[in-house]
Amino acid sequence: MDKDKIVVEDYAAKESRWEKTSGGKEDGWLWLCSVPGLYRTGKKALLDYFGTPGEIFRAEQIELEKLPFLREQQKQQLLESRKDWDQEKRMHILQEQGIRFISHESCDYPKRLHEICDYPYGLFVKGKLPSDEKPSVAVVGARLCSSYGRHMAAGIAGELAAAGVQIVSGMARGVDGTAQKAAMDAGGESFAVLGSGTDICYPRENRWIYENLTEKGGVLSEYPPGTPPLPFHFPMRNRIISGLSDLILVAEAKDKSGSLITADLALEQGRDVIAVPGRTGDVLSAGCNSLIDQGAGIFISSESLLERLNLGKTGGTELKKANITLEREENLVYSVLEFQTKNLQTIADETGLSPQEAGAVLVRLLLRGLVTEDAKNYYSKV
Amino acid sequence: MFSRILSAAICGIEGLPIQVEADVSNGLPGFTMVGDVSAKVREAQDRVMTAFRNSKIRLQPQRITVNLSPADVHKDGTGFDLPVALAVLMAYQLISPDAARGVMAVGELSLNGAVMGVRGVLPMVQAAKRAGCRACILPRENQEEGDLIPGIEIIGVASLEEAVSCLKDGKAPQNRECTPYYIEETQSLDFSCLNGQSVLRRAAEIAVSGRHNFLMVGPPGAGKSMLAKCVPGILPPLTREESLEVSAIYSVAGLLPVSQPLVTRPPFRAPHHTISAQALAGGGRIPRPGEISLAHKGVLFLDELPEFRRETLEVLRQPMEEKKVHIARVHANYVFPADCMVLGAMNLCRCGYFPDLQHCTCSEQEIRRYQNRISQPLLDRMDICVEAGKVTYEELTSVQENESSATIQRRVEQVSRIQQERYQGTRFRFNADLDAEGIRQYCQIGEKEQSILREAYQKLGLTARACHRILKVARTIADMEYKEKIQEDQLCEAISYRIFENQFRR
Repeated sequence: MDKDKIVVEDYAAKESRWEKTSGGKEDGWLWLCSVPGLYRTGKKALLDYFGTPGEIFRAEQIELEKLPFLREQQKQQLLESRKDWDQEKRMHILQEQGIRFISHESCDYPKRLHEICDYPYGLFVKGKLPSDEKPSVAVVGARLCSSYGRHMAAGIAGELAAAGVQIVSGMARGVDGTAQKAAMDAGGESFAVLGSGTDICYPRENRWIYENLTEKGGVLSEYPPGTPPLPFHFPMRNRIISGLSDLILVAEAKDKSGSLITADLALEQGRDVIAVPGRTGDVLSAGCNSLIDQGAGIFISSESLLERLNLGKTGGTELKKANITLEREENLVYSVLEFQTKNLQTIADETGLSPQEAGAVLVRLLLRGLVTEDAKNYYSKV
Repeated sequence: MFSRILSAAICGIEGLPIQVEADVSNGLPGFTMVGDVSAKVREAQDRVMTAFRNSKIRLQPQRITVNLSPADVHKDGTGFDLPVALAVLMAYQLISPDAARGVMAVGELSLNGAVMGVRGVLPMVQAAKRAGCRACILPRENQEEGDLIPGIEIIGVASLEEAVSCLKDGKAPQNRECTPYYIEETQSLDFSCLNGQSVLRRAAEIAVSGRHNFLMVGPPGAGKSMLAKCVPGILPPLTREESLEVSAIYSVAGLLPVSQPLVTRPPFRAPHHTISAQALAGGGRIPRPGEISLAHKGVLFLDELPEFRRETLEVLRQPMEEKKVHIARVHANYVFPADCMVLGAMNLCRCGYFPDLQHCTCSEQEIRRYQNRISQPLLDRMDICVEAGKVTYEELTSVQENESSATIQRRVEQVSRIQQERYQGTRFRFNADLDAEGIRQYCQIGEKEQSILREAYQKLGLTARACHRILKVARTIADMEYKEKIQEDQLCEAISYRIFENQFRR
């Protein structure tokens, strides 16, 4: 008799604590998405078993400990996070960091993302969320990219962004970061999906992009703030990149690269995949070329891409270099430059200038922003 | 009876006059040495007493006290054997004490009475001359080295007996003729063997002309090390003062060959990358010059730069700016000259092919890690950086006559002369030596050039140091073209040799 009473009381106490802490608004999704070390599959299994996050929160400790699909460490973390959970305090901390939490039941949750089968249960957002009304394109590619890849990514992202397309990517080194920077430079919006918490800028040298994204776009993550960028987080976040987009553009990819995984995920999610073709034999374009071989779309021009997205040509970005006059030698050097990087010796040989003359001319072109030096003595057109 | 004779110790690369005093008194027979002497110096008593016996010099057993003064300087080395022996003989009145006035003696004694060579004779003789000595008694082995200093009599002795008789009768053992000052032939590779690589050749010539630090980057087998081997061939020979300065360092390090005591060619040092920081900068309990000092007035070549240990490379930072190495020890501070041109060679990644992404098999992180082994401050001190690109087969097998080292050397000498004329009476020798004040005075640029430099500073993210170094290189290029003032072309070329953080670590 006494024992029963205790049990009942205990349950009531828990109930009231839940009411008090959850506030009922997001119904425990914030808690579930904040448990460190618990990923999509674990959460799914828990939800299948218990029904709602609230039920998981209220479940008996013994019951949780018996669950076969969770690892010991995950169970510990689940129990621990339950013990000292304070929703209000948590909301307050997020607010201070400028981070919003959107559960998949919220009306703000991106509709495109809902369409994919393994949509994240919640998103932590710094800045804006991609709009459902505007078209969005993911630009992905190699981290170690050539100047050609960088040029293509920046060019396409810039033109699309100027036409009002939202550019989604992963803020990685190489193609990703370049595309997002170009999109923002063109006055457009860009969104990054991170493999870490949204409060962590990874890689660190993309700090500038990160800061700007939080103002001119958004930084998204399904991982709670404070999560370190662990290697296995990145393939998981790739599904969100493609999920948020109508179309995936692969700017440059080696064979068997991460970008191809994103492209595969995109196909599974029913998104269009477009690859930027490269020269046959270029190691860095092998992935893109094989995507085309497998039936992916081929990138011809930004105009055709915009048509595909049902956006006409906006004429916003005209060629900027039309009015620039160059001196004879500068013209000579500029004419032998390509988007593929070339070294000083080759440039000197092709123009017939001495290396010192060619070097001096290249510095002038560099200062005028017409060429970039990709590595020591390697130059390409901008 | 009390007596004394002058000798010298080595402190850093300077000779320091030391008075060797001896006293013989009645009492319990014994031999005491005082005056902050190291174990090596204290051993002198046994060598000296045995050498006396084997030189048929019989002494009454008496109490001998030897003091090396000033007593607060730590003395090391074996060069005190001979002066101790002579001082003791004077104290026994076997030699007149007046005979040793104005004479410095240095030498190690062997048990049979033979006098052996010691390190650091050159700076010791210089110190003797400064101290106003009229003659130096040196081991025969070191006589030629001593002969390099004019205005002081050098007496080379092979044994204790010779030294004694020379002091007794004032008769020097048969003196050899002074060796004439001659210039050693270089044994470096000739520039005519290097096909193609016009960028590299030009950059090397600028670097050598103004003694700018020079970094070569590029794939393996492109000719970086080969070019480095060619560099000694275009360095102009040292001037008389320079060669004495360099020889003094080699003398202290014990590296002067007996047959060729004067270093006349600028040294070229290429330490292996396993070298320790102490070996590079100088070190040890009693510090000795390191590789960077041995490369004084010459070239320090560091092949495979990222393979050096990081702390080893970091010690280069201060000497590269100040052209000196300061080493502090409890008992003294040492300053070694280190005015050398640093020549570096490296690949940009572990496999060596970056930025050729067709061949490079490294991951982006591996490249980053490899390049991060060179710190930015060190990179900043590299005035000239060029890529040694792959050579085509046609270039490699071309029979076209390349410019020879001799032709390039003539031009380099010409530019050196221009610099020497300009810097007459100042503390500068080459353009690379200029400090901020010197740059303001000698590297003036016009309005147009100012605007280029300003733009480069803002757009390319230069540091203040980089700006100064660009101006110095531009000065050298202008000198090579016999231009009074630095013009746009030279400035732009100098900028093109800079390596920027963003292109090094992407």
